[in-house]
Amino acid sequence: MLVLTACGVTLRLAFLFLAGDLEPFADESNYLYLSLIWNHFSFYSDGMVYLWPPGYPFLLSILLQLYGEGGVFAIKLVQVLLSGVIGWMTMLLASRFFSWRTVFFAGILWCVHLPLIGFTHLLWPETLFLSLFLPGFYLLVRWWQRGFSESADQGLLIAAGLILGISLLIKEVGLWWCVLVGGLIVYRGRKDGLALACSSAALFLLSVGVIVLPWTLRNYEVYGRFAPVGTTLGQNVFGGLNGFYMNFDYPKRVQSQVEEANALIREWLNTPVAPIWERSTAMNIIDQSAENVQQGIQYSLDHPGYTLRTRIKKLADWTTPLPFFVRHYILEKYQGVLNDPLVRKVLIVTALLLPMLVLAGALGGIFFCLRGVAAGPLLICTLLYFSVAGSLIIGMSRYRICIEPLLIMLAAAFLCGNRRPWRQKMPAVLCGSGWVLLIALWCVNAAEVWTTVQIIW
Amino acid sequence: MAYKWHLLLGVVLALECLSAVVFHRSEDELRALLSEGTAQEQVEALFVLTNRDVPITIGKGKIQSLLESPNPLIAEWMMTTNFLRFGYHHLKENHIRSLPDSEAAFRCQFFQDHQIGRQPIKLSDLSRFLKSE
Repeated sequence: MLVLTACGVTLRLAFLFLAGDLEPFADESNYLYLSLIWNHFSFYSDGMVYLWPPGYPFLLSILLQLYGEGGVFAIKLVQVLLSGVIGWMTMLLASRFFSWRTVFFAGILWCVHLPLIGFTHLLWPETLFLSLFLPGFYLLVRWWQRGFSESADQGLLIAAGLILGISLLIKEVGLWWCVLVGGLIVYRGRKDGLALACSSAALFLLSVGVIVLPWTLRNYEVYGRFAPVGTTLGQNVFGGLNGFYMNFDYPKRVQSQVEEANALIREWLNTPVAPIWERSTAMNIIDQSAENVQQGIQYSLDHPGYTLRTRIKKLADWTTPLPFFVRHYILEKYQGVLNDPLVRKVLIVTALLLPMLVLAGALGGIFFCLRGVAAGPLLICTLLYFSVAGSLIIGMSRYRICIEPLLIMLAAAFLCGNRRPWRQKMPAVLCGSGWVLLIALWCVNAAEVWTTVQIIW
Repeated sequence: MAYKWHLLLGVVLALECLSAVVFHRSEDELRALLSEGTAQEQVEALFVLTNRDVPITIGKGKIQSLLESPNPLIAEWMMTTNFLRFGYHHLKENHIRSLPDSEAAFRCQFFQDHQIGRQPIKLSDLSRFLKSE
């Protein structure tokens, strides 16, 4: 495991140096902006439409204070080093759920997984989030699979809660997942007595709360409203439950060509049936977010058919093999060796094929490898939660990153033959149906992906 | 004791709530900071007051007077805000043009141009901004 982790970190380090000084794009610039404001004015501002959790801008602001403009490189270096945690935890989870053969395969898949590699040298919080989320998740898995004394059990839940609480200060997407986990803890512990199960759940939630509450209270102090950690839902609802389509996987350079290439499907799935509703102009960002959410929900209820049709495209966008790594080629950000024609072609093809392999393999892993595995329900619920959270409102490959290591682990289990035989045919039927659905979703976006590849080939 | 950790975490949560109460600043205290605080305290007080929907007038006259505040940080902070908080884009542009110090003008323009959702920050601009601080 150590060797594979070292290989993965070394590879990411190589990409960091080969990528060079990349000009910030989109939210990369926004995170930089917030961290500069934090240093300049000594308080954390917001993005007018997004109230992002403070963790990533805070880390960036510290590094900018320490190293000046070198802080941008410093945070990428930190991300590369933290990616070792992601690799290590992916393999450790594989050892918890499956076999050592799966550990080896998962380690290799993680090493070369270009979508994850890409995020280590970009100014996005995903790497930092995963380096906290996965250890917290691992501790929950250990608790679930426990054979320890009560005091050790409590230690695991407290540690998991504290670590996951910190991860929420990086990305708030897991907030309701923590509540779900509380319910799962009760479910898991019910055989030991409901009181004990509830006590365990409370311990976990209290631990999360201890980390999250100070910033929640800070938000109340500043905004006069309760916003645990942050609020980005309103702006996402504005973009995702509205009369227009947006997908940040496609920069402006390719948008019109992609739209034209997939005109038929986009017309069928995305043609709006009502005018766009306008974003709230409330001065208070939390009120703004709440009003946007209300409007979005009302819009969806008023146009249920359109909402359902557009969810198909969102799901297709979430399962797309086109990662942010390839988006940087579209943006012509990569230069030097990474932009060598042969290297570019190899990397683009690899970056597209690996997510497809991982997604398809993960489906196989879910249906053929998880039967009877302790903590299986925890894993399944986690995958379902982040899948829904990442595809229900706005679909994008980036929203899959939160569970990409878990998908890698499942794909590795399936590909290395770590299968458990079923007596009935139902799992095979379900898996087959899943694969058919996945291929159908890829077909929805096939013309777009193909057109994009042709443009950057 | 079976619930010692629950108790400990509960106490920590209670202390956090207590800290929030102790360190809470009322609107009167914030208004006092707005006129008498340090440069950064003034800006933060303004940020909090506008977010709490306290009815401070933010018409054209108020914006102009804030831009002309002896505290340059206030004008710079206003450049980070968009029409939802402080509109009158042309007043801000006029203010930038009127600044005698080119580095102060650059900082204001920087905050204005790179608001969330506007132009991305270039590394060369970042370098110049950090040197100007």
